[in-house]
Amino acid sequence: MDVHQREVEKLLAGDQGFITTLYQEVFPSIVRLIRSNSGNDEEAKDLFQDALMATYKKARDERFVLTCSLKSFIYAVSRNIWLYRLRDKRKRKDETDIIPEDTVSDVDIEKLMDDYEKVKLYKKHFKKLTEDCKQVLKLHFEGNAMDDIAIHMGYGSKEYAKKKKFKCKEKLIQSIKADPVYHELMGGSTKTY
Amino acid sequence: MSNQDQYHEKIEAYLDGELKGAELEAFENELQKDENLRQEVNLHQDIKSAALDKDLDLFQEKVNQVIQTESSKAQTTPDNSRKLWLRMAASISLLGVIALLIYQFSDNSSSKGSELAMQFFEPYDNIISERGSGSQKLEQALFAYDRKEYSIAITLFNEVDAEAFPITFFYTGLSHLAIGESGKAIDQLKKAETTNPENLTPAIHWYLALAYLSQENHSAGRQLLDGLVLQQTSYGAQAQKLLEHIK
Repeated sequence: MDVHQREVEKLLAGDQGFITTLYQEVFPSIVRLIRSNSGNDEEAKDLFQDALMATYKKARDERFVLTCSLKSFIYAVSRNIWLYRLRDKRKRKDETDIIPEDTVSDVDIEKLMDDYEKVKLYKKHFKKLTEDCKQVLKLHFEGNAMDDIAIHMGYGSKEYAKKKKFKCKEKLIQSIKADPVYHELMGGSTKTY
Repeated sequence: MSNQDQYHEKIEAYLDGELKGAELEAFENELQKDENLRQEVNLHQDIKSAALDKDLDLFQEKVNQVIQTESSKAQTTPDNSRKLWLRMAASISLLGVIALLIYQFSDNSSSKGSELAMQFFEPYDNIISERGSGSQKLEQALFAYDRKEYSIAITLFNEVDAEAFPITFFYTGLSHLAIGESGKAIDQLKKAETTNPENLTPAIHWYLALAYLSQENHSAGRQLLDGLVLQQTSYGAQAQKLLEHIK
């Protein structure tokens, strides 16, 4: 196993000492980047967290191979996410000032970012559901039968449990689709069913 | 039922494996032709994956904890212009600490309870996960507990329905004790004492004693330790040893 892959293993293990080292070594560069591009330190913290999360999510894929140091990779991911957010805020004046072209890895950072932003969006709206809805959907997603869900939730019948699951999911999907980030991620090409 | 509802129902039925025969075939044909429908089905599947992705939540907790710890460290790091004044203040404080130590030694009143508690503290084994607790949240919390990531464990234990799984009180108390939050540890361990999950009374009393000692409440600690010795529990020998240290 090469040195880059060992770093990935530590990240996947959630080694807090290693995460601290990454913070100490990468975060100051992110702060510099953000401060000089319309951002503040709080945004830099969010960005560092998102970059790490996106990388962690991608690194779980067995096909993920890192050809640069993890530090460089996380910095590159941070930079790309920031660019994406600047575009969102219509703050960006000249993209090329911010991102000089360099290749840090063979990984498609844009796809990695999109995948993570989607998960983040879905989780955000899932958390907004009522406790009842969250529980019903979780039990359903875990593969429990409607009979069992009805018993667990204290509903009178499996038909009611099914109806509840349907309504909760519908509400979740509507809430996701009403979020402008969803349309950004889908490239603005969504038809409403 | 609206057209939109019917469409959703069809997708749900497809994903739940309820479509059969001609109905299934028709839906799959439509799926091949209709890009928007494919996108919709993918959305349903992605939502499910996201909701079940506990590892990502756990990782986020860890990253948050690092960011908070490192940020608070950075906030307490003085800038150069203030260093001289802070050094002087530190020197004065050091003199104060030395004076206090001299006073304490001459007074001969022991305040070693918290140190002793830390010396004697060993986390109780996770006796739950191997046989299964019946609660996914509890399992996750115990996973963090096993890894000695006590702050994360506490956050996760707080999400468990402790009334339904009273063992949660015990391990939450231990996690607080491990990070020096003896007051919170006492609260949780008292709840554990009331519910007495798994017949853990001796263990609960042992850790309660350590928590009281951490607060320099020697009389409460000693009372529990005496009980452990007198009742000849498995903690008797350790309790006796600790009592000798307190004397």
